[in-house]
Amino acid sequence: MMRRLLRTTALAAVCCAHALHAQGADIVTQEMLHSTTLRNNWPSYNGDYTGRRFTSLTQITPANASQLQAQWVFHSRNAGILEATPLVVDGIMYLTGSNDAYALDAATGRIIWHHIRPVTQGLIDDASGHINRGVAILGTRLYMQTDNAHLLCLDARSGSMLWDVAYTKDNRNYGATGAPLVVRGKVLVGTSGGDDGVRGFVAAFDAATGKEAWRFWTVPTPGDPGSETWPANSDIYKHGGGTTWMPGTYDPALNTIFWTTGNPSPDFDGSVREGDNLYTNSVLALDPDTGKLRWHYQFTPHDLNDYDATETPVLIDADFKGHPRKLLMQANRNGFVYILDRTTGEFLQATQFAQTQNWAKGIDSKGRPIRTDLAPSAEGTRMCPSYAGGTNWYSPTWNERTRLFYFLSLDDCSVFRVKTQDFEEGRAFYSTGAAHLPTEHAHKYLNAYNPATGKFVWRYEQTGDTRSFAGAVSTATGLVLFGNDAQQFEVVDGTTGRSLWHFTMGQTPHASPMSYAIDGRQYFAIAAGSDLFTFALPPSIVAPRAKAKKN
Amino acid sequence: LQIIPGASVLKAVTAARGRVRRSLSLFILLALASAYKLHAQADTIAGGKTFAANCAGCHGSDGRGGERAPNIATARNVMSLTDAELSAFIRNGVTGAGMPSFSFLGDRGITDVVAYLRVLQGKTSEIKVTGDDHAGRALFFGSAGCSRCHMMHGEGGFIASDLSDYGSGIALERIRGAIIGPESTAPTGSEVVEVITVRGEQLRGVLRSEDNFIAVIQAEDGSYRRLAKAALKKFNRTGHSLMPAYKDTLSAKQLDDVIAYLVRSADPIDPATRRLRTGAAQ
Repeated sequence: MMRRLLRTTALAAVCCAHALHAQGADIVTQEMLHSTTLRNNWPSYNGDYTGRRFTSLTQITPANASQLQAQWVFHSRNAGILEATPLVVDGIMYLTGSNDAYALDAATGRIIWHHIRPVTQGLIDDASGHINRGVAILGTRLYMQTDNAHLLCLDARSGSMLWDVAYTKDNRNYGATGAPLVVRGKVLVGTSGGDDGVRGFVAAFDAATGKEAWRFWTVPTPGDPGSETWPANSDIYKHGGGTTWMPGTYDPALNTIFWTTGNPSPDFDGSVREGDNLYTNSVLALDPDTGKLRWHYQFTPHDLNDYDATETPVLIDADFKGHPRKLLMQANRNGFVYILDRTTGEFLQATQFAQTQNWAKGIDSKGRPIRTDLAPSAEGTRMCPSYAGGTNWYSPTWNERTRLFYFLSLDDCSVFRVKTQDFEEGRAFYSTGAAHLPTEHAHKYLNAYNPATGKFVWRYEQTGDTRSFAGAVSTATGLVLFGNDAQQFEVVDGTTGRSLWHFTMGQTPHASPMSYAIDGRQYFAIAAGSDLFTFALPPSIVAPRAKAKKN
Repeated sequence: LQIIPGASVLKAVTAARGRVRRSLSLFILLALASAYKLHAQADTIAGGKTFAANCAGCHGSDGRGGERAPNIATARNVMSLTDAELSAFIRNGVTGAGMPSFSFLGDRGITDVVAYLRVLQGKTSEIKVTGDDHAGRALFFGSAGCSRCHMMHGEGGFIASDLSDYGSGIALERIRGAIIGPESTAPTGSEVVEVITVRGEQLRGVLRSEDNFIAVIQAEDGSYRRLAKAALKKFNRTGHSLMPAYKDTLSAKQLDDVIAYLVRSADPIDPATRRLRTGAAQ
């Protein structure tokens, strides 16, 4: 970290005119992105390419977690809701607010630079909230998406803008809320607008120049493979949704990206889009160099309930039924947690986690849901999970030590109504709506799932108003840390689910936590409301011995 | 009301010595020009109607750009065009950029719409940029060495500020003063500090963040160093940034050229951003 940097560079000493041209060292190297050991640095949205949000830091343990203390609070200058996971590299934190980006001193929360860009006027639906989930870094360059779907490249050392690429056209309902993913010299982005009649895609841009390398349309052009799952002689495919609003994960050994897609559009009206509606609500295995599709798996064919499949596809190497396999695990918005073989896309297992679920009788041996006869109707149909999903984009975490998969879930139902409408730019395209009945007793849960047995080891029911959208992170000491449903940051023992510590942030979290270390001190960070909070053990507890080990 | 004094105004202003005299003469000249314009030919009300009917569809009713056409209200490169140049664009269109010819408006109609555009631009004077912006660009990225520290439209260094929109909304004389230097104070976040740690390590860098306890400095290679102030042997604020004084380095012509480049190619500043930058929004 900082100290190491110092030894290798000449921050130091004499600086004179000729040094002005000095080329700085890379902040994030491709090698760092390939590492699955996360200690001081958290160099990408999910920490590493696997998406498991697992830190190898061991300073904070079940024995001392009760002594955690809040360290500093950062208040974003534009009072939007923070949904970003910050990145930390060499003691500097990189965070997005609403279209703007910050570099902070990760030890104090003080601003080092602030890239300001006004929010875009005239956007609709999700994009009009101007939320953003964070940045990607490669070399000395930082990448972020804007509310109106531009990819910005900033100099990570100053926050100055190098280039700005608008990557959508022909439909102003596009927006973007995600964090980019950097793979093999390319920056990958997606869009929001899947409830507003846009056509989804994943696009890759050269990290140096911003030149588009490839674009994979998640709703195929008529005549292309998959187009047979849409009505023939209809232009609904141009408004078919399948947006790509969360960063994917990546397996370097397979050289395959796993990118997930959202609901078909219009959300609740299936009559104008008969068929399975590929590749909506799917995970796509893509070649990062060409954008070619290797395989796909669709979780919810012909979705009628806004069950985006954009939850993180976590990459795990584990025994499955006695054989070591490369797995992909996802807790899906439709109420089931899935295990796939990520080499082939073969469906292996689905387990229902939603306590109340009535849209499917189950998942068949091929991985296709067996639907009940419930569907949105003119007068309204109560269906579960709710439109907010059995879970959602907030991060799950896989713990290498406990070998359990942890994720937050929401038990709730909605009344879904349908009415056929025409697509119109400047208007959402739900084709009516979903309502929450006051008689529902919604609850959030933190779940510990054992993929080897297909069983839940424990479930921790949360108290609160079910408005939280906070994810989880876990540690090599077996801790699981998450934002609970009562505006708190909470730590539990991952083995037992026993709560160890909590802190009231006073604002509802809509973000996923992460961990980093500076000078031998381990931190956790999570955004809540318009602020970012950090936590660590007091210096008196951080033993000098542990300090030495950390570096 | 819009006021368009001729170039002679700016020359007169530039020639005036001393701040009081300068602002006084500016005031008098503007007042004269204003009185003159009251009797001028251009009709901004008619121009406004013409603008709404012919221009607003693409450039937006406030002229700040839309889906199909750029910002012509606050973009410095448009603001700095003369009335004659603007009229020519309107009369002839812009080939290849989708801007059609509006010659059918006639000379009178074009004069009116230019007058109205000046209202949208909020201009009280025409900006007379005398330098050669192409030569200025060559200097910026070449012998003047500006780009080693400063960025302009995505090219250049990181240790000093991005100047892409610096030339928007700033008086030319302030740009000139900032370049010839020496600066009176280092802007926040750009001051050079010199440090000696307890271990005798000597460091020099730009002070990026500071409280009572911690200072973060950035070296010219981009790396950061966080320092506990209590544990320093020496913490010297130099009071200046890395910006050298160009008084004896650039000729008057070269200075004009660099200024022309900064102004002519400046990005427009969004008014909201300007407030944030000055801290007025806090």
